[in-house]
Amino acid sequence: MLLRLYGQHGESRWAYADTPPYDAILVDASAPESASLPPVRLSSRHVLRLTRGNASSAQGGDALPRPLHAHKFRHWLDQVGLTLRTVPSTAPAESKTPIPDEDLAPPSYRSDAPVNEQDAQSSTEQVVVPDAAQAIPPADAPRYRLLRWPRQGVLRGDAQRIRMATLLSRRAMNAFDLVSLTGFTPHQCEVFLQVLQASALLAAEQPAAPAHNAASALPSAKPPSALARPRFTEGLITGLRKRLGL
Amino acid sequence: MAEYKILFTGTMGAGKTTAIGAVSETPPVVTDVVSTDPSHGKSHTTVGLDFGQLTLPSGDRVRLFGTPGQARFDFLWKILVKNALGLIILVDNSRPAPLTDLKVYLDGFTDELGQLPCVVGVGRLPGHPKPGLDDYLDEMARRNLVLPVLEVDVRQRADVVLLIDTLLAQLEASQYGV
Repeated sequence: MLLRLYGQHGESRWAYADTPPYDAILVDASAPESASLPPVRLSSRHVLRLTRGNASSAQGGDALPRPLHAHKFRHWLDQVGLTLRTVPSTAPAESKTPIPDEDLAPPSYRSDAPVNEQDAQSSTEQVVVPDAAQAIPPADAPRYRLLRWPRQGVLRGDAQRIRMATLLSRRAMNAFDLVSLTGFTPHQCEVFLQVLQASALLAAEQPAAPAHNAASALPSAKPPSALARPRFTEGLITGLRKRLGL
Repeated sequence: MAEYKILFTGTMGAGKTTAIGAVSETPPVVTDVVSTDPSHGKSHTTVGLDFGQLTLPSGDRVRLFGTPGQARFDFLWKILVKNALGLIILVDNSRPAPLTDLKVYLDGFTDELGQLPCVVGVGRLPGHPKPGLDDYLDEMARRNLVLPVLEVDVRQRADVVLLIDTLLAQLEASQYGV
């Protein structure tokens, strides 16, 4: 299918990517973990669900039935590409078809459910084009804490993922918090949260909100990196990271 | 000028001295002596402590201490860990029972692990794949600990830097919004 896809000349040029940021994500709607896809807002990417039977007609234009045909996929990609080109780069590229509410709702954590993170990883494929919209995630989104350190298949030895997982192991956070602390793109943070959620590694938590969030005084134009942090931590961490060449 | 410290602990031969040497700006001060323990195949081992340091742009210093590996020196662990920024536990996966080794250090620092940033680095995994990292995660889960567990080659500076960065991220999370 991919060969036929590459053989067609569509209106937009796409490339497969296995690391974020992603502009479009392909998920297997029949996989159990796909029902728990995003706990965080899908603000700047498009999700195509692969369904079985005629489920696509009920779910709108962002679902296609199996077997996936190259020309249908190409058509969907062209539509997404058009949307991405017409939406200003600073604004989120909203999905043409809203994600159903049940998909946006954070799933309850099932501690008794078997977890196969490798499967969770492999059931999601990503397609990306450069210059993805980088919308700052909402500060008041639900926060999640890591229940268990992720397996290798989830982290892939990626230092950025390791840092995000470490932060989540200590405090409940959302994508906004991760972006604020790490400086990684909203895409990276949101996708990683989704991967953890799909692997049933996160639990929703409502800790005392960080001071800047509680005040709700953050101007929307203010970048998260400008948020105040304790001087002790900031000076030490920044200095040590700099010293170590990070 | 402030001074901070990071503690490296783990069994004999786990690579504490090497890890400190990989990032220290000065050659580590090593207190190795001739080993009388034939079980681990080292001619020398650390019975006091290793010491290295990093000077930050602000002039502050971060001391890197390696504990003596032998459990009989655990009274020193308690002294060294006081006011530490974080703890790096190094495990040698080529030893006969590395999970048991890990338990020794988790027990030894159990009072501190609730608050103190900590990371577990597992070495020599390529040549000794059992137990795997997942087995370490299972042990952590049994203890209700959510600690980073990473494969490391302490000869690689980048691996040691990643361990330290993981401690920093824990500090960062603890201080976030406070």
